[in-house]
Amino acid sequence: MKLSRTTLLTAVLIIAALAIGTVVNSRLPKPDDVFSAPFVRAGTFGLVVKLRTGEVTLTSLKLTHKVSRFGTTYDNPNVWVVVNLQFTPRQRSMTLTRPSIVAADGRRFGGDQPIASPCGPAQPDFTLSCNLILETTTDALPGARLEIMADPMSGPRTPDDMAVFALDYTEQSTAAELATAQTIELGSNTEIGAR
Amino acid sequence: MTNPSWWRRNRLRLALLLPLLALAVIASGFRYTNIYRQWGKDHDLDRVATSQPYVFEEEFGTDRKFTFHRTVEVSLVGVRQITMAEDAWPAPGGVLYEARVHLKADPEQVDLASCTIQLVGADGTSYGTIGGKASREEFPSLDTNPHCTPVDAEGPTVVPFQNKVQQSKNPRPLQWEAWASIAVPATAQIRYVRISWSRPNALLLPVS
Repeated sequence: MKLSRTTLLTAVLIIAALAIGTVVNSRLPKPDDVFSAPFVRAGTFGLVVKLRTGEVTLTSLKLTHKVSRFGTTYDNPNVWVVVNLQFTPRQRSMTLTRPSIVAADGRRFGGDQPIASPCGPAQPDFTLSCNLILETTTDALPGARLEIMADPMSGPRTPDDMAVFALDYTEQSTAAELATAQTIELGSNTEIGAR
Repeated sequence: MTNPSWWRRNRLRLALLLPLLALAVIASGFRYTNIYRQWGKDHDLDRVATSQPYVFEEEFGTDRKFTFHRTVEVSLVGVRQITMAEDAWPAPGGVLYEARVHLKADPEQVDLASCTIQLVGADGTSYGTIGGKASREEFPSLDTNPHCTPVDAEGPTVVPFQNKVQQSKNPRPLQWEAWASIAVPATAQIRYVRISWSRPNALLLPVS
């Protein structure tokens, strides 16, 4: 049987389309990934990020080797990241407890921390200022991002709101900040007031 | 593609593409409708007290073999503005309220010592006993729980993880008042006092 030029061309096109489709399909997110992906809300320092449970404003972020609370100093050969934020829940009381630092290479620093620092319970429509403390390593900071889940029960594989802040650290700026870092005194959460 | 007759021959199919596209967009919104919105009120089962005293009843337990029936007569005493409660006052822009609820129950009724009392605003916002308060202390031990039962007369309670009932120092009286101090924004309009013992059930007492 002699195949016509059109038939051959069609066969080649079909095989090429299948090959491309296979490659594309392998790179597309799977149903489980889509189902469990968080709702990402990109944030900027100093600006309000609206989450399902309330509004978050990242006011400062400091690096240090030493933090102090209740008269005890916690010395860390790695890095304490002290995140100051303001949180205003909506509809009901809420606590933010699960920040994570995600390194550029995908390493995740979060979960239960050596120093518990829950932001809350915060009253709806009242703004609470608080410090969240995270332990990470120096090499994780360049290109890292900070993730804050909207609910203490939610994690990075929960389809819930997640505020994401790019940290803009480089190796040089990380080293420079740590070289001059002082002990950070961790105060209590502060009620700013009703809005 | 350049032949105009192709567009004419396929105009019905092309027209059908629009509703199909709309359906695709709606279908892809399943995460929003099925996951995101479902979390709005966390599936609380609020019931409104149609008359007072209201007989609140529910089943609760630690597991299937260790369950109880709860029966409490509930009526609202009142909600009044106060300036300070237990060394705490409202944060700037807020006001502090004291909510009082009259309760009547069999002294042998199990587990009434731990309750939740909240104020519910006109927009459905629930204000709890923690938060919205300021104190002189840097690390204040703010009143974290409502006062659900008389001190030293809490009545029988279930011991967590042990599936046994423990009696209080003194028997609980037949009736008493539970109360809570709650900070709300000065602009909030309070509609209900919400009381609950075991989630998801709760009772809403209208505030006149």
